[in-house]
Amino acid sequence: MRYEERMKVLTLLLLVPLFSSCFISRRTANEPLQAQRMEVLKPGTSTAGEVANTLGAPNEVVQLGKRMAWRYDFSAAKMAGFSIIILTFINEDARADRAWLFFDENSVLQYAGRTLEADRVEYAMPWQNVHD
Amino acid sequence: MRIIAVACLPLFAGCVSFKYERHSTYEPVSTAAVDELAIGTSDLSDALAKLGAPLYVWEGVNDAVVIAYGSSNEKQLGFSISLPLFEQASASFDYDDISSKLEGFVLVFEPDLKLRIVRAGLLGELGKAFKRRPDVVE
Repeated sequence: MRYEERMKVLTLLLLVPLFSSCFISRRTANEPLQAQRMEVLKPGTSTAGEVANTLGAPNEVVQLGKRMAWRYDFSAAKMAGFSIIILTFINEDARADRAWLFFDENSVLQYAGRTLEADRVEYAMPWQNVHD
Repeated sequence: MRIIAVACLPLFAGCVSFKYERHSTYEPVSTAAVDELAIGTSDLSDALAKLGAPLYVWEGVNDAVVIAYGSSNEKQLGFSISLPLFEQASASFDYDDISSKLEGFVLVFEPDLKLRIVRAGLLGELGKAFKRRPDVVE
């Protein structure tokens, strides 16, 4: 084999494994929220103690004067990407389930709001619009 | 020589890179749904029913209740030269850190929980404007 041919083969051998660099990852934080458990809680009657017994400890407590609000959330993120030598494409999609429960000055549940969108998290490439 | 130069290119991949990144965080709330809320008549329960759970709840000035909805959809095209000495990754989400990048709505409620103010913009800046500052510790 001539010197030039040997160099070509060597170059190809060096490059081939470097073209196949792709990755995906998924990360979550906290436990998924369960809608059924939340439906047991009734504004106007459920107390903070009952909420804690049903849902566990909140992720955050915010004092609002004499009132308070509790946050429960579950976050999910999916990342996908690939590299071609020094060119890299990365897409990260993050969504969250969350619930805020508002208590009055007597620690009775007054209002509750929830948003469940964590299951809509998607793997995608940066040029894709998966949520449109 | 050209072949050698091309063969050496991958060796720079660790310190020289071109990146096209997109980060999509949370789903935006509908502007039409926010517009349906009426200042002075809608209350906190109306907002929760129409918009779902907020991202943030803050204590406002004079016992006001401040709630915030936001999302972000960032696209970045970049070139970087770096020498990584060590790398750290976090498996958790930090709500405070990301608020500066999120864009959306802040709703301010009176102590009787009637809607008083609606503002659109970056949550980090709006939060500074409407959040009650912590008391001075003597």
